[in-house]
Amino acid sequence: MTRFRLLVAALSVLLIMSFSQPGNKAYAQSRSFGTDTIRFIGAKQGVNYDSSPTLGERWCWVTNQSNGTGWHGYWVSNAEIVPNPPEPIYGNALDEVAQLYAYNSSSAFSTYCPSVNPPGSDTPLAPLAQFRVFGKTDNPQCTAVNPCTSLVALGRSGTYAVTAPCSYIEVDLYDAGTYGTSSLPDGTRGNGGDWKGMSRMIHAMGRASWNATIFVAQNGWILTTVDDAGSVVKEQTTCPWTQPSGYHVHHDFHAFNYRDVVFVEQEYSPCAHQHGFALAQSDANG
Amino acid sequence: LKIKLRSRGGVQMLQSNSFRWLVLIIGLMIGIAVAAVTGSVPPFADRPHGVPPPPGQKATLTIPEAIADQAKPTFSGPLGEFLVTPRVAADFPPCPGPLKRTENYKFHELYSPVFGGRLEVYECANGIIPYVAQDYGGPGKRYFVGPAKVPYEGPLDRLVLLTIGGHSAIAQLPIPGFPRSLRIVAIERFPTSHLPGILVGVDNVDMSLKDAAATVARMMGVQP
Repeated sequence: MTRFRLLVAALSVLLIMSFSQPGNKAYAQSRSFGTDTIRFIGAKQGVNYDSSPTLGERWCWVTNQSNGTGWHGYWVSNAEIVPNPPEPIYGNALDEVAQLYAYNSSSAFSTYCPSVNPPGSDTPLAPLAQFRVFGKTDNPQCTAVNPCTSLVALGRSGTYAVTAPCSYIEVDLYDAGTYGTSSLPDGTRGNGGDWKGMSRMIHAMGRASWNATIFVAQNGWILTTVDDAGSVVKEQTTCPWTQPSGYHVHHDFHAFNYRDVVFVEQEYSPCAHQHGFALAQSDANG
Repeated sequence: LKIKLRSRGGVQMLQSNSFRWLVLIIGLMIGIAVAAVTGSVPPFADRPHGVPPPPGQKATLTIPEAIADQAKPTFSGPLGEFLVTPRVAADFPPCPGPLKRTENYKFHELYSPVFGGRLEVYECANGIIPYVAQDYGGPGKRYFVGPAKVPYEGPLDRLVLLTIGGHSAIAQLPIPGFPRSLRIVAIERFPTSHLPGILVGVDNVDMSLKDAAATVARMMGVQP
């Protein structure tokens, strides 16, 4: 009986607290309810051949070359890099250019994924590198007319210092309900939270820092875009890729906490044209 | 049986206690129902709602401390043993192309066990391996010639000079509000007339400065 009384007392205190401070800090820090799926669309904008409002424009990826100098051509699960002798497959990475014309079986760069304009020139055909995602959730409280916040996107850009001097745009993704709730004792970091991963675009450069909020709904895909996240660049020499072999954006995703990030669409085929890639982001329930 | 043995007053007390518990339980159930309806308590909690911006939004910054940071002038110039050159990295020794992938790097002086295996390492046409790293963002080591340029981009108050195991180092503290943006570089070796210098470090990590310095120390095989 004593234990029962204690339980009732504890529950009562919790209830009183919940009503006395509606919308307080503790509420803001709680993990939100629902599982969200975030679908990334290619950084290079192409043409929407299907008139689909949710899949986005098509883009091309470029397959690995047999001589070892080729580009990443696979987008697979975030799991380990899969050895495929003699060429390892770099899972979780692909190189993309915008698809601007209908697919055909001949070389992509000279036909439907031209990269530069005119052919052979040094002028990128689609200079913008964009950050665009569609978001969906299984939480019925989030609707297309009243969508919920899912992730905080923190974008930054620069040049790598201790490896290949390539330009990058990195976008860290935090659970919107927990962002800003942790820090390190020495003050060298603040505003952390439940990190969900990082979307990265290499060979592109933008402003030093920006932020955006990614929204989700249960009854439709909600589009979040940052159209001027950056522009494609030529790169310094000794970055593994430099012009004139074709402007492109290397796109990958880093998620070291694999538990929360799984792919719902896996693209193993080195197809020359694809819509996009996606990942599911578990947003709640521990 | 015990109740029967109690006095009349004792039975009344028990009835009174039971009534209080009944009221408490009913109250509790009403509270849970209200919480569920109002969405004020997890797991009934409603999620924050908002209006997504229309397609085509521009990159904006709305984090106050980051806005204040960006308003400060970006530092450029010499700082300690380094030359801060925003978005421009240090020069490599001559590296004629085309670059070629190589798997022969584990006994190279730029390799550290901290990097792990299965690395994407390139070799110049003259046989030089310009850098070895776990990822483009490091941790990694690279050769350099000329001044020790770092491509850091930020105000002076986020650039910190330090010494790691006797080696000069520089850190770019995180952009306020951007936790995973600590960068650190140390000079493991200065270039000479016949040897390129070596830079070692990591970009954009979610670490304390102390832990990042310890990682760099491990890569150089020194005590922090």
